[in-house]
Amino acid sequence: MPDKSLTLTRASLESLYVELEKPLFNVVFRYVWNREEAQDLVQEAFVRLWKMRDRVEMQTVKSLVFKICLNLAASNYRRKKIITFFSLDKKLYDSQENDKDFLEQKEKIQLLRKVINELPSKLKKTVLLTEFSTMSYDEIGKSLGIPAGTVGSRRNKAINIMKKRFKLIYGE
Amino acid sequence: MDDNFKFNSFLKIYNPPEGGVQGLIEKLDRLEIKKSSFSLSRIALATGVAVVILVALVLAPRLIKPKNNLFIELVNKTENPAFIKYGYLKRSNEDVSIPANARSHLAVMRVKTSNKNVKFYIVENISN
Repeated sequence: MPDKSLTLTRASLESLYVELEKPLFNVVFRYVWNREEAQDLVQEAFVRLWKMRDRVEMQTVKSLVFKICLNLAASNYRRKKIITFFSLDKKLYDSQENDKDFLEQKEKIQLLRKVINELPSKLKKTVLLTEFSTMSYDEIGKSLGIPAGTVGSRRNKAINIMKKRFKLIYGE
Repeated sequence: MDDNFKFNSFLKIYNPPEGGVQGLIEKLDRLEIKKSSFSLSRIALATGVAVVILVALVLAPRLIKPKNNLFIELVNKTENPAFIKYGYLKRSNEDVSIPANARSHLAVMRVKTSNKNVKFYIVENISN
């Protein structure tokens, strides 16, 4: 549990990391689709939090760290999209594997990622936080700068879009 | 692929790689080292600047020649108490006169004094 004191200390930062690492990792992973990179971004978010510790309010630190993580993940995703567009990084689709099942499974995973990637940014952030952050709608609202009610409506919209895309890809 | 599979795939909770906290601690330590070396370099820079300023202040008066050196010399030669020291004009009840041996000097400025009877003239040149 994070330290209840008013200021962020090294000890409280580290315990906050232990508490939030998994949900943060799962949110960021849906952006970068790479375990090491996702972990690195989560750590980077905590380094940034530490740099701004004098201005951090412990009551809202959880929302803040998710916000930092989402911003880092989103900018990383944008950068990757540009690199992929210019074909500088083809690793995403490269494979040495010829196994049919593996390729099928890989194709499914890639399509699933495509559906998530193609969600509008606002909806993607919302649905990732509602599904993985373990925060309440109020806290998510604070993190995204929107009312709690909007969090709920954006989540529903995102789920509906995903369902439609899944049906288009895989049929009924 | 049914909806459950799809959403299970989407909602699947992954475990982050091992050593997350340790990695964070190392990054924070590196940050602290970087920060302290940056502070040291800033201190070194500030010290350097201070030394340069100090040296300049000490050497500058020696390097800059007084502009009115000739005038000061002249003032000393008048031997009048009012001109004993340049910049320190003593008031005198007597009229200040230019010594006889310096009558060829050119008075270029009259210095105002509170006493009307006192007249100071700043002389710029002297002939032997």
